[in-house]
Amino acid sequence: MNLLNHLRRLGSFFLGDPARRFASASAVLTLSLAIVLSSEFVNDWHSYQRQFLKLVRTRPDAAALERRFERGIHQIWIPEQGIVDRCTTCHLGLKEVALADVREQPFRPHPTIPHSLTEFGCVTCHRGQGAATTVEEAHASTKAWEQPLLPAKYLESSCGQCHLGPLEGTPKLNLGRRLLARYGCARCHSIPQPDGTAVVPADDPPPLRHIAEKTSREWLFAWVKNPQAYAATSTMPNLQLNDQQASDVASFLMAQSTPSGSAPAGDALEPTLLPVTIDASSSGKEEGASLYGSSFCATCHAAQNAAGNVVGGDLGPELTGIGGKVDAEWLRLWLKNPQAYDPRTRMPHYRFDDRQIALLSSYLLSKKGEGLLANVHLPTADAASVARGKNLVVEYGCAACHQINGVNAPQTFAPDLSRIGSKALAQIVFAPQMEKTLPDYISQKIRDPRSFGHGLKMPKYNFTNTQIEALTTALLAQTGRAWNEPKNLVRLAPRRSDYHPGGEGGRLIEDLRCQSCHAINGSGGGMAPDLTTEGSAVQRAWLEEFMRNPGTLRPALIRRMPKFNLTPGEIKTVADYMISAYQSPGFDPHTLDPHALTGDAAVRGKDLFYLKYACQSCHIADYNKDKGYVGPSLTAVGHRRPAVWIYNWLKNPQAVRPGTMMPNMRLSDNEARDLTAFLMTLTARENGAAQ
Amino acid sequence: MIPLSRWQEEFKEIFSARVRERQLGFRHTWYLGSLTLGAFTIQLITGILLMLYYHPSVPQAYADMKDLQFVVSSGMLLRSLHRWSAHAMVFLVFVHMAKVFYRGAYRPPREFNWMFGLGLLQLTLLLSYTGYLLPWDQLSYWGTTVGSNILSSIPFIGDKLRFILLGGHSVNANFLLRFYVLHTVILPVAVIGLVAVHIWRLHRDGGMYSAREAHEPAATTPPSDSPAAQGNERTLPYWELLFREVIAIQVLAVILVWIALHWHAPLGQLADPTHTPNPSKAPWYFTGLQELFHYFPPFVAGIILPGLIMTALVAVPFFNVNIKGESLWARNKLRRLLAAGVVVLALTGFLVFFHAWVPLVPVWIVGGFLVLSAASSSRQSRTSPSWLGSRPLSFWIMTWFLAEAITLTAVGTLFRGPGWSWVWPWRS
Repeated sequence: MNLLNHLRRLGSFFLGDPARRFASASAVLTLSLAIVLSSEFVNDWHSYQRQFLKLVRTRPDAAALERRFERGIHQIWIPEQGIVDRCTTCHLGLKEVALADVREQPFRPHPTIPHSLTEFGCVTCHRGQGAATTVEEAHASTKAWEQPLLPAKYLESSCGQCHLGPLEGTPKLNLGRRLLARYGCARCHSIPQPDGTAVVPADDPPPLRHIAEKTSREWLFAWVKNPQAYAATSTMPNLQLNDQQASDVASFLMAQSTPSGSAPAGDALEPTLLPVTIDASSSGKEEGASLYGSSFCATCHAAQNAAGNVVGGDLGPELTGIGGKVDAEWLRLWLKNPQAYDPRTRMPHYRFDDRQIALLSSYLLSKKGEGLLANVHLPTADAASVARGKNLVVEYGCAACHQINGVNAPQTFAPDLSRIGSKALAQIVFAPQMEKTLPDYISQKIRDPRSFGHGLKMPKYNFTNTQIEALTTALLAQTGRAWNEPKNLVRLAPRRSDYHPGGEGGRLIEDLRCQSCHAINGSGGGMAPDLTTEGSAVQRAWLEEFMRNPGTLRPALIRRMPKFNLTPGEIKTVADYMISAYQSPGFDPHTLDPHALTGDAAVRGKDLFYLKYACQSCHIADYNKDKGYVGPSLTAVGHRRPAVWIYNWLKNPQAVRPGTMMPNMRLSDNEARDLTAFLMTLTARENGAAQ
Repeated sequence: MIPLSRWQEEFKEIFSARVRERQLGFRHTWYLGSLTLGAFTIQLITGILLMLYYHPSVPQAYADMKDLQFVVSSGMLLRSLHRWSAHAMVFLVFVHMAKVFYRGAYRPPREFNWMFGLGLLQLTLLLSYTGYLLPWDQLSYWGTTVGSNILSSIPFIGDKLRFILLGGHSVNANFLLRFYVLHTVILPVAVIGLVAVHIWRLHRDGGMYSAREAHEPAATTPPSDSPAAQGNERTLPYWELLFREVIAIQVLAVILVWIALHWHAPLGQLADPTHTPNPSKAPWYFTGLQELFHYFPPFVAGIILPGLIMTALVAVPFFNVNIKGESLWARNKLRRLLAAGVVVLALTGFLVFFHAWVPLVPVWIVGGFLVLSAASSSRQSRTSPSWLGSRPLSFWIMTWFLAEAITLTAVGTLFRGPGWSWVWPWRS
């Protein structure tokens, strides 16, 4: 019997007549249904739950763990917020503290976080598809759900969806938000926030209305071509213009410049002891450098030191190459009164006399930097070049940051970024050869904006990888979730105000630009102490003395308040204003009886200071013995702080200044009074001699 | 008193006890009618099971799709089976219609049944269209939006019709509810009613049509269990036919179950009224129509052309043309060849005027075969021409219509990309 006959017999057995055919078809159908229905049990989560049981049974606490385990699909369901997260079906160890030593996924327990796991589900922070029970659909970007799991390095962005202000525990997010403000992203991109405010730029692009007085066309060309070649810490990005374009822009900027009026007509500088020209002698330079140091310019300005490191603050521009940039006369007028050139500058009006101005300017003009302009030879600036330059300035949106004559600040120049963190993949045009995910899109945009196509205008910043990661984190936090969440779940950023002091004292405070460094009533910088309640925090005599001669309060800090050479009248006006206006209601003078601060109390206080509470571990009371550099030096606190302030501070430091490092020592009223009495006896002067 | 026996004739017709032996074989009808009914039955069963989990509200509908896929035991199987047997039903109903037409089974006395069949075709397409919206994903939303916009291109009443269809002015939750009621209640009930009449009529008209009837035009074919019919040939009990059809349905079920196991019903992103995908394509059985929209104004492509097609299909049996189904080239060959040439050229001119290159292709292919058939019909003697040469006119018209439908559907589904531009499907 050959094969064909076998097949024929088989065929007729199964399919010979209709009844057999019916039977065969029914059998196959039943079998198919059985197979298909039982394939239910071969899916992802079943196998993970079996694996989990196997793992659990190898452990010593197996019985308890097994008792707590439930077979089947688990979910975190919060209907009010539309959250259905089934991640815990496979991630079975999330809430099991007993599994703390397990490292492999998906059974690793969740790291400790400030929220409970069931408060917001999983997807709120980790993204991905919560409703899914298969690995691929839950984690990856699929046709049905394009938002994949958020990579762990960007996880802090999810905190930022609801926490709109700085947050302890999210350093990357905080850094990213600071960078967003500092590099002026918000000048082109509007980033409105749910509380009605928007991200406020924290950089300080100078106005260009009178630029021809300040610098040369050659310098403008070199700057526009590559700002970081002039100043490595500059926040201005590189517009990636070619030579022709940069030359045109420089021509236009010089052409649009008008006189600033900073040099009042006929009011020449008085003759000085030193020649007004640059003094190349070493003693002149040394004195200039020393004046630069004692004026604490480095508090705000960075410059490259002899060792080649750029040191100093970032409130003002880097001065490494200032000598190769600015016109000498301009510099002198600037140092005399910065606000005459730029009314909105953050630089205070130092009261330098002409000799000091000459010293400082010759010192600064000697800082030539790299010699950028050596090879710059520009063609003459004709009208065509100026016209082209104006077109370029309009096209590239320079007026979004800088004030320029004849060019208005553009509106909606760049896309709104308030919901960039939830941008749909289908709406993104990716650059060639890149990973097609949202975080990659954002970081590539920041890293190399023009790689996405031709004709794009976004300039190139030279961020480090850390900065790009931080910025991407901050931008991923802009999901618009805060707009849709119930208000009680959103933590708003601290409100900024635009408080400015008034009156004669206010005018002086403005002139001295105190708010560049100090915040007062929610408005101002964060570099120096908040002065909102300074009136009740210091003694008037001390305040006047400090303004006359700012000293060292915290030995560990390198920044210092500059000396402004104020007249006694000016000092009195400012002190009057601060003492009366900047009072805090919590320091009722009647809380402390001044007669209770006796000598006996001071003796008891000294024992408390040194023996019971060991305050010398952080503070210096006697500069000979004590070495505590954590808190401010207390050698002169008896001159500085009012007794009632000290008393209230000792009772509860956090109430006076929230976030201070000083612990609450839980003093009794008597102890606080005795300590206050002791501290009020500390009235040393700078050289340590007692009053 | 009215006795039940009054309905004896009808009862015997529906449950007629005998069928002709020659009609039992697969090759006559390929059991297509019962396969379509089988697909419909699968739809009923899976559909009712799906209804246990589905809420026709926005956006709960999409969430229910997810739940079916991830949580419900065999939920994915239910969804997939429902989807693939829907496609199968649409495909089968078209093939059934073509087979009936090619066999000539629309000829009197069956013209009434032919119309019911066309009605069932419409209902099948509507069922598929209404069901397409229910997952509420991007494809569903925008696919049905395209369809509802066609409606408003009807002059005078278009906008009102659209309002009735949508239950409002835009595609929203009301629309979903309306389509859900249509899909689960109104249309299935209509289908069941029409199928019942369709089958009853089939029995009344003498069961399966065979080509021999065409050559006995004088006799109206008697009911199959009448002595007159029985006298001509062998007849068998009805369940012989039923058995064979059930086997066919079982095979269909096995195929569909295995397809459902291997290929899951797709689901896209949640419907987003603010973001239109590019391109937005209608379901595959409508992409041919969508392709026509590329060439002709909406009113022509959406109302006139489909209207003309439906009218032609309905009218076909009533013209009583060529009852015997004699070959096109049997008489007046040269004149008819000339006429065919004129028609092809006129069609070509019309399509070129509208820059409709894609529909032009089947015109020329079928036209070419037509001319070939004329040539081959003369090669042999008149008494035994080649198969192609002996086809009647109706064959050529239907073939041309089917060729157009297949070409347009294939192009619309596979060869069209963003902005309805031409893409080669093997190049992503």
